[in-house]
Amino acid sequence: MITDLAPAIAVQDLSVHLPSQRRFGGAPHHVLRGIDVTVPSGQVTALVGSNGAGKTTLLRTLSGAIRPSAGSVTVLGDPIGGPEDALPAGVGVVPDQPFQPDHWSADDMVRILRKMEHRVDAAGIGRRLRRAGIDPGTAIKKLSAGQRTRLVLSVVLGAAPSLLLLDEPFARLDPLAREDVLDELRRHQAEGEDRAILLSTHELGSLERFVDHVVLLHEGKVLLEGPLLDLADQHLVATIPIDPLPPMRLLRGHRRTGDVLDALVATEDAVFLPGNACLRRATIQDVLTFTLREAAR
Amino acid sequence: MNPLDTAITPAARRERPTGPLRRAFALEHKHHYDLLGLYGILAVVVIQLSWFAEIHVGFVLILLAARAPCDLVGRRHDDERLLRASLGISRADAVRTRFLMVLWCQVLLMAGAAWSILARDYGPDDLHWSSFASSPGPAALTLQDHLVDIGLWVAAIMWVHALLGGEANRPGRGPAGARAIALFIGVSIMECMLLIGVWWLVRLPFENSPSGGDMTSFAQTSSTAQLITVALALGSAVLVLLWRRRSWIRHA
Repeated sequence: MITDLAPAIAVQDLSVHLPSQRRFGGAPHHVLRGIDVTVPSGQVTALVGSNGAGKTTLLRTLSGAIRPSAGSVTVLGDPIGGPEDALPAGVGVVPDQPFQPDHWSADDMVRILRKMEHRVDAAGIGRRLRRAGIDPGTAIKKLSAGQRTRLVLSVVLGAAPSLLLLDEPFARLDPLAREDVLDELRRHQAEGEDRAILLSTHELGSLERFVDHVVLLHEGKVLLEGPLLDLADQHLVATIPIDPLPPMRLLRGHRRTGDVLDALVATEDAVFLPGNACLRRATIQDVLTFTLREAAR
Repeated sequence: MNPLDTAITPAARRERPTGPLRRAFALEHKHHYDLLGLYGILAVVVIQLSWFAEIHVGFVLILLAARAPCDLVGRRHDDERLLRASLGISRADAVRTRFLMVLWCQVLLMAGAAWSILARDYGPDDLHWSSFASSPGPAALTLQDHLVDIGLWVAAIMWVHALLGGEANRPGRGPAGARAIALFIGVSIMECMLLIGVWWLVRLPFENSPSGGDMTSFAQTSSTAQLITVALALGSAVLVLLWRRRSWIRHA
């Protein structure tokens, strides 16, 4: 059973205030506001939220690039957050856009990777690059946006990281490349029971079978966190005529379409709904969408 | 539930093959080897030009040295931070290596500029751009005059590093090169005012003495004032730079 492993990431009461971009007198931007997040070992965790929710800032803070304003962060058992804290070995970071200089190639990245990790599977990296149609000597600037993501992911996977931090990995991929990358990640995950993946994404619909754990961020706060299957099982979507008005306190988010309300309700609250309500199982996308809708309201 | 199912045991730890500072220096070198090469070539070209043609071109190296904390930041500043973090380099180590990298570039440029001043033969009427001649009238510049000049602009460059270097560690933006130049000019003007003030103070005891007005005492007071000013400027620059470095590391 996987629960005998310590969490890959433990975040407690984390706040991040970024300095204002204005030169004088700008107030700091409160990007994360006292959040608690746990990323279990051996599982795939999705960080979901709308634009500006704080996903990228959280990933950057977890990697040690941004100093937390308050709270504590532990990655693979090591504290991250203090000036002297560094990301431990065995953590791979794949950003939404490569942070490597444009003139670097896969060869340059592998050379750097060898300085960071004892075990680098160069043959595996080459195989993945061939599959993506990338020549190892080609500079990053000559690759398409999708190829860049695949290049960085291919190199990072070459070190068989225990923890992968992926920022919007599928945003720039075409459907075929997306399937390929998902297969790569599944294979990587299957090769070690302690391997954890934390990926940020806007939508979970197509990743439902890949993801085990979900964290929903909204305006720097965690709205929902838990195992994906539990979150879906704990909710139903009810279609209810608005006349008479249903008990609104039971609804965890709703959308009006003509004379009916589509609403998210907790499974245990379904018995209190009017008898003419139609109920169906909620998907994780329903849970996230309705919860975000309610939070935005 | 069996308590053993939820027992927490740490995952297996891995070690890195290299130390963080070595990785940080390797990364700095990989980022900036082209700039370092350019600085080296420029230093050689300026030394050649100052020997055979125009002494004032040395000022280019001095301005580049003042700008170095900005020029080493790069346009993709946030990407560099993330790259360093992903390589297991702490923010403090990143500050340490960047500080040393800036110093190294500045030493290269300042050595070129100093060499261009010291290696040239000066005629009795020759002055270079920052001469504070201690001997009145047409007399060849002495080694002390050159060393005073060099000491003053080295101090100004270090002050600029201390004042602007911290911005290079802030997420979201890096310092602008034009500000570095403006600060360098400002600090140089302050040094001139300091020199005048020190000279005035040093001269006070001579004012009422019988030899107060002669050329020897004037040269003596000028020379003493120059040395005191250079010592003050360099000493304060070193102290402030070291204090700022500690502060940057603490707040990285």
